[in-house]
Amino acid sequence: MYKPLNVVEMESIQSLADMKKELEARIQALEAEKAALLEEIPNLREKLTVLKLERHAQALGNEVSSLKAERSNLEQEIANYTNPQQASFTS
Amino acid sequence: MPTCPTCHSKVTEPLKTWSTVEPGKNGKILECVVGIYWCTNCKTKFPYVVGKRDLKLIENRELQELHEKIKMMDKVKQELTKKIDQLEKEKTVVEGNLLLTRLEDRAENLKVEVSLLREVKREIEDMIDYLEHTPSFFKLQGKKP
Ligand SMILES: [Zn+2]
Repeated sequence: MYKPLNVVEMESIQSLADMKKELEARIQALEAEKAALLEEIPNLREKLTVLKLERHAQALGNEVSSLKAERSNLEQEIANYTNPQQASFTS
Repeated sequence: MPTCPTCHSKVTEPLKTWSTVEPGKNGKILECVVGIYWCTNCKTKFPYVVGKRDLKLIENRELQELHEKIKMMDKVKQELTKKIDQLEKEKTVVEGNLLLTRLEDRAENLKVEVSLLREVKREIEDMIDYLEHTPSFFKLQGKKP
């Protein structure tokens, strides 16, 4: 039952094929971008976590050093009160 | 293929054939084609019914009517074939459009997904940028005399 297609039918099938090709190319590009993003995002999250931890460690380090300084000041003050002679020599 | 009733050998060619016509049931006529066969093995001659046909005697007018009916049915068949052909073509176009719609949907969904992922990536990058380029509060405080 094969019948040759006329010009209009052939053109319409051609345009359908062109549109299909174009859409498939677009889908392929989007799939590639999606795959790249899905790979990049976890790496960036990891980097962000490391940076946050670094910041936290730095903050804790600073807190510890100021506490140490405060303790040393207080110890010095205590020493002054318990040994006033020594304290007068030193100060 | 007929077989010899005496020695059961197969016999291919009849010596002669002829038709017999006899009245059957419901005004039908039964035509039988009978052949006489010669067995070369045991030299037996035997009859064999080669074929049977049911025939019917009909009026010329009735035959004419049947011919007209056949002609009309041929025309209907031609029209139906044309219609089927047209429908097949329409089906091809509809299937093509359906496929395009599905592909468009998929592309649209991917576009949305990709734009969401881009947004997520940008947010994380902004946070990284902020952390990398802004000195921390404690760092500033630590530098104070
Ligand atoms: Zn025989």
